[in-house]
Amino acid sequence: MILNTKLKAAAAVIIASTLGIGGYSIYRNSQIHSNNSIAQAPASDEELSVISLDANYIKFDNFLDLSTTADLIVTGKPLENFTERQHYVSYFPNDQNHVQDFYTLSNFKIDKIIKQPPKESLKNGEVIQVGESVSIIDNQ
Amino acid sequence: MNSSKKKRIILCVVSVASMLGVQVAFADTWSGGRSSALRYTYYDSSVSTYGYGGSFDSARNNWNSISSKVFIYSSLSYNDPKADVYYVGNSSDPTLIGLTNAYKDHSGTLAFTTDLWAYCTVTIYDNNMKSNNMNSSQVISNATHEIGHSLSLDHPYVTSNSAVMKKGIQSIGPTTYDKSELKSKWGS
Repeated sequence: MILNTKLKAAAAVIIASTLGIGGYSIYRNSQIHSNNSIAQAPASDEELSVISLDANYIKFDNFLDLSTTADLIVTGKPLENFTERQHYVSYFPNDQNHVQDFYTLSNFKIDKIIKQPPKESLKNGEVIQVGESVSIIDNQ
Repeated sequence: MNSSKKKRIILCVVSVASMLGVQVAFADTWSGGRSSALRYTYYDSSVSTYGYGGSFDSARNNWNSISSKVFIYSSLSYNDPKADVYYVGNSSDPTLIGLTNAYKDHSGTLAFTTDLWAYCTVTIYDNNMKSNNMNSSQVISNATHEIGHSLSLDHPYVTSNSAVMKKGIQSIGPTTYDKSELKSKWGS
């Protein structure tokens, strides 16, 4: 599915709350990184620890600002468990130990479309890909 | 790197909580971090490639006249084991403008904010700063925010405080509150 960048930016924020993993979602912009690596999916019984990274984000102080900025607002559910989704990590070219970006792509089935731009024609029941700023990576 | 010895972890960003309206009690400084705030930093070539050297210089200097225990020197050697590394990158998340990653060692092991860090990386994201039309003052403020994380400063829990460590686009340097937090972490 091809969506414009602005749409990608806005859609995610709203979709996030429906994914249930505390993630902040976006549609993936595949033009950003050419050196993404896909992490191997862990065994379902593997214990995973969580590292929270500190970031600076464009901030939305209230739901009205958030919903106004969003081009696409939908409800629905992901089709795979978190560990079974596609996990991407990219590293800086000069040091493959240093994380530049990370995200997870999830197949997401739309239950209801609340808002979408005129140029799009998404339908209830359609499956879209949603990106979230969360990923599984290898660590010592 | 021997991947068989690696442990899988989940990476996420802490700002998610406030986006979703979850109330989380953050301390304003972390118990972990570098062992000293008298330290070196190295600018990756991406900094000059994208033209942010002056912004990082200004942001670094914003923290250099607050405490005698805090000074961030410039290092010319990438192999300097004491040096933090500053980057300019691009993110697939269109709202992410800066990120700080802490490492336990030089083999890429990520650290918690409660750990003793070997060093950290500070990244500002060119694509998103440009798409949000951020001016030079806002870029410096963003870089100052991320360098603040490298000094173990957290996002303020009380959001009424004016602080460069608050999330979002701002045009300020360290405020009285930021300076107080810095001194509480590292001393005067």
